[in-house]
Amino acid sequence: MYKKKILLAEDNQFILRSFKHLLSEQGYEVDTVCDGALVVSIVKEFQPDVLVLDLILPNINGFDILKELRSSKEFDTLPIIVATSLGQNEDKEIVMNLGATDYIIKSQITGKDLVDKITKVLE
Amino acid sequence: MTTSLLHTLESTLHLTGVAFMVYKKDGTFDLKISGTAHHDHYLERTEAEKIDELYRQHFPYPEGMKMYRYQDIVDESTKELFRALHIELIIPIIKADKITTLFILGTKKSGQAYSPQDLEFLGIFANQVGIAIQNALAYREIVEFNSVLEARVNERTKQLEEAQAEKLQEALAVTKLKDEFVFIATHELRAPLTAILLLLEMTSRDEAHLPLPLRSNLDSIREASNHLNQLIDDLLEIARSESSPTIQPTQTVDLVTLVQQAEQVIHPLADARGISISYVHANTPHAVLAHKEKLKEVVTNLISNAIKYNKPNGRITITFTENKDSITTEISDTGYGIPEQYHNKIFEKFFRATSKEVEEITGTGLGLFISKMLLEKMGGSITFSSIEHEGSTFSFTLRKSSNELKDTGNSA
Repeated sequence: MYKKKILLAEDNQFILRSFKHLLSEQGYEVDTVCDGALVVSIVKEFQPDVLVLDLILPNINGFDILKELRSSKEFDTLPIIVATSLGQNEDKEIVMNLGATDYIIKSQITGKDLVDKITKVLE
Repeated sequence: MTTSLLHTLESTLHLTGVAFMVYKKDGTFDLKISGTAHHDHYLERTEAEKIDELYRQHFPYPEGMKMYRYQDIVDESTKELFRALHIELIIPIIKADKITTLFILGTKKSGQAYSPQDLEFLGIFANQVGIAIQNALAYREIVEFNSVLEARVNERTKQLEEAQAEKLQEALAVTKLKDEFVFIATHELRAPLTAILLLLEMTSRDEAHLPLPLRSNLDSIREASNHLNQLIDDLLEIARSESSPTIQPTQTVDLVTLVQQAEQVIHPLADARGISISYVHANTPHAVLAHKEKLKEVVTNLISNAIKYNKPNGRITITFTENKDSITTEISDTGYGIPEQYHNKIFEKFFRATSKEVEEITGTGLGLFISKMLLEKMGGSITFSSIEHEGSTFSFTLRKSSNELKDTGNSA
């Protein structure tokens, strides 16, 4: 059976490992990237079904990555869930306007929420 | 001015010369000499110093004013000096046991002695002039003191301005530090904690198979992690709120719906303790001015306190009361209550009332502090009443909104 692929763009190792652990356990193929400058090229290479994108990444931030992906023909419909720890409504509005598919606040997220959101955008 | 005065005196009385030795506070003197037609210098500084010395040695400091006439002097060396310097008369002006001025008058050009009228006139004149000179001196001192004072004030002002600029810099540095703290708290403290909570959640699915002591440990870890999470949330809330005096935007919120939504979320906690929740006057919608998310935080905090500090199978009553310009929401419990000695501290940061019944209930001691802060920033207020062992009632009041409630406004 084809495993759905998730790319986690996240620079915090704790978050990265726990998300990866959780999603692998759910049967997804998970790849990770920490450097903002590498996200777009890995998206091209890995061809994920969902991108979970942190807003604050080294070198290139999540806002710019989102803009770049949305302006390319190839990835303008790729489901992108933006993850941030800031939890501020202004950010939510900005990223939704930039074309994010959904939005999670890491500090408030439960494993169930994350899995539900991913299931939902994959439908 | 003194010199022209002396000159007038000299020419009026036809004297060989007139001088003032005006004493200063430190005991030294200024010498004022009339310009004289017959002597280039009526009195040299060195000669005046001799008079000063003589006066100190030979003349007592009498009360008031007394004249020393050449003819009255017995001491030969003094007589000699008077003669050499053409002095006819010295009038000391004494004030508070100190010489303020020696008024030195030369011999008459005619060689005649001073007439009694001359002496009477000089007596009055010397006294008046002495006072005038002292006034002039005092005035000069004041002017000098003023300029010193002005310089000091300027210097001090400059120092204060520098200190203020420094303080401002410090304040800005503190604000920056606080912002950095908020950032670090959000990212560096939060991230590992989020991972812990996620992994605990995953673990709980298989926990039923674990031995009881291990499960109990996991429960403790979970509780501690949740507590830490709440603490970070609370501290962030305070850090953010303290940097903004009011909460914007203030929206029109359907109070009853919001309270009921918040209550539904934590209802399982009430169920777990067998606590029933009922409403009074909740049938009509009440539109208030508030920040929806923040108000929800406040309400959640107050209801969760009413659950946590209630007795098992207790009751919670939520009552809405309409005032003229505001709505009051009362959240009343049948719990352990707050001992009276803690009543004035209940809204303080990190304060937690302790009693035997509630010692095992966990809390950060920040909930009520934050609730009060948030309500006040929304233009509202909070009060409470409590009777120990019987229960507590927390009442918060928010301003009514004049806007109509929107149907879609309460889904957040």
